[in-house]
Amino acid sequence: MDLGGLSDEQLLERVAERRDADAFAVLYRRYARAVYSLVVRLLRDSATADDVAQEAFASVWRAARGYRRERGSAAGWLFAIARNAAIDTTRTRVALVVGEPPDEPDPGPLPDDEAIAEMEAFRVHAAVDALPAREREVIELAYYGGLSQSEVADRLDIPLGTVKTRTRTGLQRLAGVLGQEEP
Amino acid sequence: MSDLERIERMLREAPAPVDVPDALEAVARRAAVGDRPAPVRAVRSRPRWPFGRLLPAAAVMAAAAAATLLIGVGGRTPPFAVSSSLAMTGPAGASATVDFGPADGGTRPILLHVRGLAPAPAGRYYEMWMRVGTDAVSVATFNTGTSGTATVRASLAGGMSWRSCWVTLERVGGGHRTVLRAA
Repeated sequence: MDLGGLSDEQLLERVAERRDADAFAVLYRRYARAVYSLVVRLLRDSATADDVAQEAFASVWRAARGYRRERGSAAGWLFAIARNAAIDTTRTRVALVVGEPPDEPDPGPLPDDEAIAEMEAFRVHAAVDALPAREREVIELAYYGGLSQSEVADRLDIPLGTVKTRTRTGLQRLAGVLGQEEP
Repeated sequence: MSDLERIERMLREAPAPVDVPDALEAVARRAAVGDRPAPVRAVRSRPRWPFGRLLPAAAVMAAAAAATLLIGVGGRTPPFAVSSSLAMTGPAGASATVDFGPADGGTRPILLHVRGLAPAPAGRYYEMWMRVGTDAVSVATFNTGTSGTATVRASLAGGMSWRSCWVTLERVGGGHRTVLRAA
């Protein structure tokens, strides 16, 4: 059976109900970079990100039976698992330290605003990773690498028109995925 | 804004993803599906309780109850000179005030007053947090009485530069949501 054609929700349900290691592997490949990138950003430390990302995917395997399709998408559930794995490693208890009185607080984003931004980045990364390879590479070079379309054409040694076509097709495909409301 | 323009904005606003180490897939799969590999670095995680969830739940409830009883009976007047205050608000009229005292011997006392917050259900408790740099630092755990109020005393380490504070409703074993945030 071609597991690659299954939806995220179907894969997660196979992991939960059949303990399907191959379905888990497909899910891993779809979300590894999104999960790892999220963990690195939250930890600000790539040294511990490997262990935390490993723990996050282990949690996916253990907790798959807890996923309920009616409560939300598999992507949202995976995001929450990864985010909680990262946040759990940064929570500390107040320690008694000798020092000056605390400074005034900075007006930074509230925790929920950060979570929304992180979820959006997670969805974008996962959606880009799901693009066909030729569309993904032009999208990544242009939007992550900051190259112009002419520079992308030079880098990949393909005509500028081909870059434009693949970019447009990739963006349309992303619009189809990211345009869906996250329940 | 067209769909494609919106997608382009999302791509530009999302931080560039981080490439996943090649070895992570095998390690994550072994951790999930097979024997857990020996971690290269210890992953800080919630403590594993040998007696299931009853022991941590009982301990947290007892601690929260003790903290509340110790302070709550005495009323709202803080036992220190208040140098500054911070208000928090939440849904359904829930609110809180945090009074900060002067630094004394390297620590700074704070007094949290909560109003209009229903007692946490069984297996859950409230926790106050402050953001210090990129870390979420736990300040106190507590529960409210049937009146929906609580007064909790805690200490902050001197010299901490904090950005915001909030209160979450925590579930023993994992999971939380924000119930109060700085106004």
